[in-house]
Amino acid sequence: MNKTAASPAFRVEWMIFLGLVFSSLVVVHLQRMIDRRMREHMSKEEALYVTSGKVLKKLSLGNNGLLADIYWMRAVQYYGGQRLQGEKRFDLLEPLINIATTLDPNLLHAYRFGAIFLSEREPIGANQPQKATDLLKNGIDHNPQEWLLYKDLGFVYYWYLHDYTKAAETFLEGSKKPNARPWMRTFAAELLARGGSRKAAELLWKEAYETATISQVKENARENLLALAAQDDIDLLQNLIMKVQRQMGKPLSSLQELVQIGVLNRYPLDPKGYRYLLNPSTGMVELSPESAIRRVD
Amino acid sequence: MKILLIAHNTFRECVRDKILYNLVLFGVLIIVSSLILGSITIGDVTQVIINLGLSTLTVFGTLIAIFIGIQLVYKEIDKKTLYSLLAKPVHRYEFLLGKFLGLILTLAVNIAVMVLGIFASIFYLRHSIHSSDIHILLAGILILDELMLVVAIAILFSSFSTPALSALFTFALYAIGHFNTDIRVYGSTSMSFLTKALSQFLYYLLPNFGNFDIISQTAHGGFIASEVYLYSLLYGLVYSACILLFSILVFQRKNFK
Repeated sequence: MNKTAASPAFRVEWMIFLGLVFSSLVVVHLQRMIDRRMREHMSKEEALYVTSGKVLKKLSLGNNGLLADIYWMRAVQYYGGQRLQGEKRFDLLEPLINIATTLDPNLLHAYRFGAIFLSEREPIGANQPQKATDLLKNGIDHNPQEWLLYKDLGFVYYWYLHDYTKAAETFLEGSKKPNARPWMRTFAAELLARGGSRKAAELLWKEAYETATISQVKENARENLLALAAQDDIDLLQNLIMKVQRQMGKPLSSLQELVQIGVLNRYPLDPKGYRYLLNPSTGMVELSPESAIRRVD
Repeated sequence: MKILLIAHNTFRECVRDKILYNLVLFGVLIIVSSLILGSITIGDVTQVIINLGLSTLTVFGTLIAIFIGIQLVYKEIDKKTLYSLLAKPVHRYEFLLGKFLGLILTLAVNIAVMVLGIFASIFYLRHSIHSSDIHILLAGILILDELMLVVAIAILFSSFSTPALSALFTFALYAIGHFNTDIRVYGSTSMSFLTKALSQFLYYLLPNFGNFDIISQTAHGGFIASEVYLYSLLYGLVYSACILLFSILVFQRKNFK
């Protein structure tokens, strides 16, 4: 068939093409209308239809590895989604991670990063460190030679649960596993001797920062290191204020006075550039309410 | 007129091919369920009947839409009956639309009988039909709308591919269409502009079968807002038209030599 610009076949094809473009635009418009109306009429759905990893394993017909990856991705997306929406509840996080690790008990990153998501305090994480220890213990049961799981478990005991004895025991146990880093044994000794010192915490977060391969995990470690650095600054300023107040014989009303009398050559700023503040009623140095530095207990 | 003639013939062909025999299976399933569910469940049995009935209707309907849909055009080419048909004053688009409408008519009859079966079963269990049960009929219409889209997709693939691949593609698109909302959610949580844009694009490009998902709401006695129902109905019709136009475009250019 000769399809010149004037031929009827050509005209029909053009009309079909135009109809196609028009109907595509209508489809997009309708979908937008449905989405808008659905948001108005429906409550936020948060449901996990199959909660048993064992059942899913049977249903996967041998493709449990792939299904585990899918559930892990769902867990990551869920966590990210809740954080973006400013949600403080992470109800589905633990079940999703548990399903992923039941489907594939060797899915190390699900244990490791799942524990971080579960342990971190609100609004960054689910604030469920106990569940994180259960997850990591389960991981150790299935992967008893994996020293990284011991390191993470020790970390949760140390940083989130402040159980220094259990943390030291876990680090010590992990140090005996193949490829374990030598610092694990040293750190266990440090913990037993000095408990929850900030120096020990810095050592751990530095290690986490240097060994992190995922940007979000690295960023999390950096934030915690900055928070610890701010705590060091505050202690330093506090000591300085005490010393100056003793010399002057009167309390200081602001940190600006330290600059005015020449003790400091500029106003002290936290690692993110916000001003430290002196609370005149308590006499304590604090982070500015606007400061983006993470608060540490 | 020619379109309706082809549609009528396609319907007769489907009946001849014993497609409607699935109704017997459906009938047995719904009767047995009505008889035994009361003794093995606690709570509203009619809810289970509606769930079971509408889900079976969707599964059977989808299987018919895919496996008959992919054969509609291919069979005519394979048996070479298309050549004699196109030698007559019948346009290619008339042939394609006739085939499409014939299968839709078959599915409509199938759904109508199944919905009647659900009503009969409810009447047997409750000895009455409530005015709110009209939702079952509305759900049936929306499911037909969904199946219309599946048939259109099957015809599109079968207009340029083999039946096996067409079935695979149609089924894959049907499955992806049910996860469409997840694509958008994935994009919205991503920090990358490219991922966001791509997921938005795919969200609107791919058919959203989630729009037709109303079975459980119907079973619980509630129903989606009337405007959402209407938009979903229109979405199915316009999207099907869109796919059919594309199929016609492909079919017009197809060389049968």
